[in-house]
Amino acid sequence: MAYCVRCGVELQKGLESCPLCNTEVILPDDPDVEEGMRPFSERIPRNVRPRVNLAPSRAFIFLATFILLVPLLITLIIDITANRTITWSFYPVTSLALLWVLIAYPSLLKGHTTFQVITMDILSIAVFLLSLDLYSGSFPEWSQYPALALLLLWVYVAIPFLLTWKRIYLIVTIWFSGTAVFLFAIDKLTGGADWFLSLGLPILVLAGLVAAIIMIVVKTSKKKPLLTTATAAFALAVLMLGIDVVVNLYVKEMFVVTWSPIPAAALFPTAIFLFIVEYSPELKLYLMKKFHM
Amino acid sequence: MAEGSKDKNAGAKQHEWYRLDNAALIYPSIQSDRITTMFRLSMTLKETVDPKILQISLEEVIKKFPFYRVRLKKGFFWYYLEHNPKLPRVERDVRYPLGRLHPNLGRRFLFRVRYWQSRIAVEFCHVLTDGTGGMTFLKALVYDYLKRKGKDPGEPGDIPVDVLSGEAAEDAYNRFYKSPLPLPDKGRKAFHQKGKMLYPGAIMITSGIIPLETIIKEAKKYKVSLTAFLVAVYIDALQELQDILVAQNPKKRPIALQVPVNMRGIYPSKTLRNFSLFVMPEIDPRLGKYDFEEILQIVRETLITQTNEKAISKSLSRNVGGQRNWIIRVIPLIFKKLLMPFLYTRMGENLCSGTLSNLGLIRLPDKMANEVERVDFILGTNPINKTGCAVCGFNDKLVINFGSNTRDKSVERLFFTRLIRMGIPVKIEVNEDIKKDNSEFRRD
Repeated sequence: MAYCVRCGVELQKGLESCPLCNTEVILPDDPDVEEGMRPFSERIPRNVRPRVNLAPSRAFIFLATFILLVPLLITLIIDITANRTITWSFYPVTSLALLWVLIAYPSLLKGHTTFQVITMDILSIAVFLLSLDLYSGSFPEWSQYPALALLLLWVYVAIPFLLTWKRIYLIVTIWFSGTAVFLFAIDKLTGGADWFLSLGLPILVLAGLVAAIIMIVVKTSKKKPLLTTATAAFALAVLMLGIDVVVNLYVKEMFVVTWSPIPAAALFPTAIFLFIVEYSPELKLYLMKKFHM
Repeated sequence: MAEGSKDKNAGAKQHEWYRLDNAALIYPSIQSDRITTMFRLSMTLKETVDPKILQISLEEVIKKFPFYRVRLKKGFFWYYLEHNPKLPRVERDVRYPLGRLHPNLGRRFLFRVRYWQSRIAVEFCHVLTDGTGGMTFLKALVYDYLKRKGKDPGEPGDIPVDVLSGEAAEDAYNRFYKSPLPLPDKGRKAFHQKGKMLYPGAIMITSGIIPLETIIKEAKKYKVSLTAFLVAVYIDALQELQDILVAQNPKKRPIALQVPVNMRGIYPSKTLRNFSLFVMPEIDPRLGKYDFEEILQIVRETLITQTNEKAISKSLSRNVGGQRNWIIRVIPLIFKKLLMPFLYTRMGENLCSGTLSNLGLIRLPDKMANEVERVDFILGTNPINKTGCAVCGFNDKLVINFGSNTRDKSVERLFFTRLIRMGIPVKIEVNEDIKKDNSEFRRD
């Protein structure tokens, strides 16, 4: 029998230190105690994270179908009895159909993935908007813009699920090229002045470079928040200067900076300060002492 | 013919469902990796457990407890329990017991049976039952197991051998509810242990094994019950902990302990679902340091004055009144779920500094008792109180189990060293040797 010299309690066989006070056990009974003597199993439980199931159950779909069917039939009947044909009821009926697709699609598909659900949801909203535009007369009048925006949203949201976050660089590349295509299309569709090549693309490229720099720094220097913040501040200042120059080139057709030195004046010194702190352990210690909370 | 009737029976069971009892209502909404809402009961036998026989026993015994053979489902307004067509499986024990049961994973039972060497353990989710119900199930399981193993466990006594139904599955809170009574005190925020928490799922168990006779003699010396004695020691330990952590008296917080009371002793119910409420002995250290006799007196008087039918019906009335309130009933579950964690911390965990649950002396039929070495009771942890204490006695031993989700064992140390100073010998066992088993609970 071993006792803890500090707590006075008798200890389980084979302990090297007292579990209560951490004092070393002076005469451990039998240090090579077998697995069979332990009061608890060695096995560590697997920590399972549950998947959040967003899909409603089939019973709910069943219920929702009939609940949606009632307003759908009522609007149709009122419209047809009054006008002998479908006129205004087109809008509530398509809206209800859209609602049904959004609710029911995930569970009707066996073994669906998030990518499929997002794709289907965005697609059905786009079809809904296009159909509204088509039904109200001259097509395309307005619906091409939200449809394009939805396409861009799909690129932002669905692509990560398709490629998984492991291929983050590829995802970001696709995001930026998608944005570029979107801007180009909007530029062409709206007509008027050509702003994509001289304004949109340069800003986008700048933002992409900044994002790439920050991502590389975050990935290479893990658990160094100061370094990450410093790089981000530096890159942000550069981005602002760049945007300022590009905008001035487009508007005034002159290579000048106007407003961007102000944020840059705040960001550059901050970045330099953080760089210095990161690489000077003495300064770091001093600041920790002074400002500990 | 026998088969036909069996099928018919199974068909009827599939339509069986149960409302959650009043105490269980809150648990599904607050369940998380941190608040597992679990407790564990185990019996250590004299021989190594045979998992195959245990599995057969479990499959038989679960049929006698139809209200435990359920899975949790979401209704529109409330959760409910639905008959589970699958059968539970026994699993090998783990180093960190009391891990969360995932409502959507596995066989979806709200309890699990684990074996390790000569120990059979059941871990129940509080949605299903309280300590008394869990112990009845464990007794029935071990009784059946011993019989199958070829031992003679003797007459069953109070251990159920037939299919239970009716009264055993009732919600006794609702049965003994009296129309609105004055509300109980709101309570104040109590002192809580500080410290960095372990990874979710990990738990530090410290068991103190004490000769029953010695500790009862000590309690008798002060003319109090064993529960009152242990509660007083626990409060005294927490008082010292707060003295170490907080220097100034005005900044101290009350020290209150949640002590579950088995309501089956107060109301005539035989339910095997939840039927317990809490009393809270409390001291206020802002008024100065209490010595042990003073704490003992407060605890004794609180336990006497708060556990009579009149006093306890106040909290019963508040809890059931809330459940019966029309405004609350028509709120859809998704919104109720948002409200529940708030209620739980505000009206439950915040008000106490810890829990001490005493299951009392476990009685088994004589022949069965010869086959059982030890009985253990462990409470799951929660992030506010961090440490919980569960006590039960069997034969000549009292086992006090602390479950904690911090590495810091100050409370345990202060508690057990107090007993040592009174001349009560304590043997300590742990599930993890801090120095040797340095494997942190992995995240993934």
